[in-house]
Parts: sequence; C-alpha cells; structure tokens
Amino acid sequence: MRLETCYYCSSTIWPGHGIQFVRNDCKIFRFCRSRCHRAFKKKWNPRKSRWTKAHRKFTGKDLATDPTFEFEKRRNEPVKYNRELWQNTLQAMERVEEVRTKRERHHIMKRLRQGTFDRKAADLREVRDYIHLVRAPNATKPMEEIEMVQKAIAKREEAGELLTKVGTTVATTKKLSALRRRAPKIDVIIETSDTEQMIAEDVE
Amino acid sequence: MNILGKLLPTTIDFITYRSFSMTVPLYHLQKVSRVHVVDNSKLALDGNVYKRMPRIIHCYKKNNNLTRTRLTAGLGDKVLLAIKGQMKKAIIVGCQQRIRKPNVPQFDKNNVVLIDDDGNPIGTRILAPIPAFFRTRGDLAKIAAIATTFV
Repeated sequence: MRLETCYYCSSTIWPGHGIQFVRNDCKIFRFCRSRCHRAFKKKWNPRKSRWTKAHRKFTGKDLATDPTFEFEKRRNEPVKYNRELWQNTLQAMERVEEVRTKRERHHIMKRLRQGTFDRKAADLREVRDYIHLVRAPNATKPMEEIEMVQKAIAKREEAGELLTKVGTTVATTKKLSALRRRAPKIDVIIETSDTEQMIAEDVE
Repeated sequence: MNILGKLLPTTIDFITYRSFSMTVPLYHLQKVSRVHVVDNSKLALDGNVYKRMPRIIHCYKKNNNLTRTRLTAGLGDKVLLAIKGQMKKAIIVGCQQRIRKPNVPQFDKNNVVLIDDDGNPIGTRILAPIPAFFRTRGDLAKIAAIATTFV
C-alpha cells in the first residue's frame, strides 16, 4: 500500500480513493477526487487554482524550498532490507516532520506578521490624513488648540447652532494642567439635525 | 408559507428538466472503435500512420449476453482489428473508459497490442504502460513479458 499525492492539489490519496490516469508517454496522473480530475480535464493550471498547494508554493504563501523536503523525494533504487536502517528511518521521519512543520508555520507567521506592520502604517497614514475631522490641524500647542476649540464653540453658541449638550474639553483647572502634560483628548461633539430636534419636540 | 412559495417554483423546474436519460456515457470498445496500436512491429508502425486508423471489427468475448452487433470489449479482451487493409487479432491493453475496479487506471487512448492466432505478440516491445493485472492473468502473460512499464 502506498499513499500517493494528487497531481492537482497535492493532497494524499488514500487507498480506495481517486482516479488514476495514464498518458501514452508513461506519465501517471493521480487525482484525489473528481474535482481535481475535472480540473485536469479542463486543462486548468494547478498553479493558478488558488486552493491547491502548487499555487501556494508558487506564490510563496507556503514554504517551497527547504532542505527538509529533500528527505521525502522519491528514489527509484531499491534498498536491501536492513532492520536497523528501517528503525532509524522511522525515527528520522518523525524528527524531520517536526522540523518541517515548525519551519512551515514559521514561514507563514513571518508572512502574516508583516501584515501587522502594514496595518499600523496604514492607521498612521489615516490619522495623518483625516486628523482634521478630530482636531484643529493648525494648532501648534495643546493650550492653543483648546482655546481655539473653545472659541469655536462659543461662536456657535452665540449663533444658536448647537442644540443639544456639547462635550466640552476643559471643566476645571485641574483638568487643564493635566492636559498641559499630555495631548488633549477632545470628546466627540454630537449635534442633532433640525428634523431630529423636531421629532424630539413632538415626542415631548 | 413564504418559504414554501420560494421552494415550489424551483422544484417544478427540477422535474421538467430531468426528462432525458441520465446514464453515464459508455466508452466500451466495440465494432468500428478506433484504436491505437502500441507495438513496435512493422504492421503497427505502418498501421498507425495509414489513411485509416486501426479499427475493431469483432470482439471475441465468451458468454456475452449482448447481441452480435453490440459485442463490447474491455481491458484484456481479444479483438479482431482492421489494420492497413488486413485483418489482425489484438488484445486491448488500455481503455479510455473509467473502469471501477481498484488500481485499474484509465488511459489516454484505447491501446492495443497485435497478436497472431496462437496468442503470441507480433512485436518485441510494448511502448505504453500496461495495467498491472496482466502479470497475474495466465493468458496475458506473453504480453506482460514484452512490456516495459506497468501501472
């Protein structure tokens, strides 16, 4: 009994499963299931089907070249039976599998970890581009910024634009001094539209 | 009830579409089947290049329940071919039909090996791979002897 690998998706073919196709140039194609067989008949390139191992290795998503793969290559010379060799080989197989899976996982983690850096950079870029929605961009010092915001609020209050309660930045001197120490945290100002105000009035 | 309403139209479609035969197409080899000779005999080499592909004229199969016009042959069966205007016996060595037995592969073309009347192959070598059960069957041993690769 021998466990083969599917030509298309590279998964193991267990006994009793799959289809074997022999071409007249003596090349044997083994497929694990009809999905792979049909893809082959449609002449699809396994390197382009995203679910196959061939694709993952081709695009570098999985570990492709590593010394641990050399152990599993098919050798066409028959080896004379030797009990010690057999036992040593079994032990070696376990160890090689351990090392190989570790390396494969490391390869994937390395690839995915790059994503966290990319996402952080993207976040920083987003903050830089859209900070004007949160803070006054022309403010150079924290106090200046607070003053600017307060002035803006005062102006709007005068104009009667603000209808509901407003989250103000500074209430007490204690808070002021604390803010001087670190960057000011400006709460989101919630304004209701005219229609909502009308609905609220109707409800009341 | 809404769910039922959604289901009903699709089930009706299903019923109307299924009005034709659903048997799997058969790739049996029978009379007039075109065949690829895999020998290295002269007749084989000429026959493959002749104006007409080698064709099966008759299938020798014992205890065949089908009528004489519908005799079919599969892997390991003896057939009569028409090659290059001559009649020659041959044994089927590879089928495109998917045979649902374990470890029997399907081949690229319908391969055939030429025999004389005693059952001895005419050529000295077979160029294509041959199914492994040819080694175990006594009447196919002569062909297994000149084969190069087994599948």
